Amino acid sequence: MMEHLDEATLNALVDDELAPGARAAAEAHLTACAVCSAELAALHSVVLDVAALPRGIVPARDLLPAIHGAIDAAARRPLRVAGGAGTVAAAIGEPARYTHRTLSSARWSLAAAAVLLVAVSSAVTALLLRPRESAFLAVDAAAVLPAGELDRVEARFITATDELAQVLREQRDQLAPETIRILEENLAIIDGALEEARAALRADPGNRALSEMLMAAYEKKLELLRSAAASVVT
Amino acid sequence: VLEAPAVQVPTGSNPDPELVRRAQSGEREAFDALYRRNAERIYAVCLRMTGDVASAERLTQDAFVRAWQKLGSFRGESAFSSWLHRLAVNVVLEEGRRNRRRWSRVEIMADPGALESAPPARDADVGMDLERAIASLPPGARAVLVLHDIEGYKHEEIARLTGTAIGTTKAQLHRARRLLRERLER
Repeated sequence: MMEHLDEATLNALVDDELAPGARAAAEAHLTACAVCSAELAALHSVVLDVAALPRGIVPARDLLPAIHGAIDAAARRPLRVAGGAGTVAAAIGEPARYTHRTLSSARWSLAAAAVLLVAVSSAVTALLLRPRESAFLAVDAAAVLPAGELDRVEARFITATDELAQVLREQRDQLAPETIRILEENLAIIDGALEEARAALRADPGNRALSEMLMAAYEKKLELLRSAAASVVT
Repeated sequence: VLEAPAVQVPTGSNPDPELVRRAQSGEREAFDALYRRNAERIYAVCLRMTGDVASAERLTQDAFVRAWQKLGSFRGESAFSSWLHRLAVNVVLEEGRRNRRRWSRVEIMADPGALESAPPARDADVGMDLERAIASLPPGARAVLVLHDIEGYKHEEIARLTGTAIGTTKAQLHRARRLLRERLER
């Protein structure tokens, strides 16, 4: 009694997945077996019909309004920002206007506004914060620094911000384009402020107000990075 | 990396790269244009993989929302349509993994009538019978059949995507084809 081709072999023939030797053997069988030939033809017919189905199907309704709604809802979801910035709600559709209006104030206010600005992005507002263990947890920027401590604390800030910046570089693809843009704009602002403060401190090393401004800028940078990083560390 | 077959658009006439660039800068109208150019194919794969209109609509929305949020990661190394398609398939499969019960529910609730919005197939009656038969397949077999026989994914890609062995995806495909034949009485 002739043994018929099994299902796997018939499918492998249709998909052209048989090795040459096995294919030759199967084809030899097919020339002598009407049952398997019919099975193969029927299987091939179904596969061809499935492959010929249209690639697109028109949705019964326009989904775009719902997509806009979901994007906007994500952007408006409140975010509790660490460091006292509070709950922020803003529309994602107007990031540029919001930015320009906010950036019209003085330079130190710009740094303070950075956390607010980043909060308008959908990625940041869409996801819950999950604080990441890192060196910054040990940093208390509000502390009044005794003489000689500034360099040590600044080094800790730099370590912490570098660590968070690395997280963001590694997970950049998790952030929305406008989030990246806002983040980069505000990091540039804060870095500029930091540079100014450092330059002023070099000229006047004992100035406590300048030290505090430097630490405040670091704190804002930390908050900005932490908010953005938390949005991608889910 | 899983790659969906590229949509056949003549080189030079594909506006996607420019639309993507504008959408990446936050231009909502450009993103809307990308939606209009790709919605039917994304909806089709969502509908065929779930067999359920409500799920397909929600997953299509989710896919486009995620696309908007992840546009910054698109570097243009593949066609935008392929990137978006892969993203949508992931959205569907992630939902399946998150809630296995949904697959069972979808199997029961599968609504082949929803496919009547499909454009006419090579033979409209044959196409509708086939769509209904596909929608009636068990979820796992249906997903593999849709990805392999309609969307052109390789078994290696499907196995990687679904976290299963290649032998399993082949077995699912063979089962799907066998059931299709039975239901179409061929």
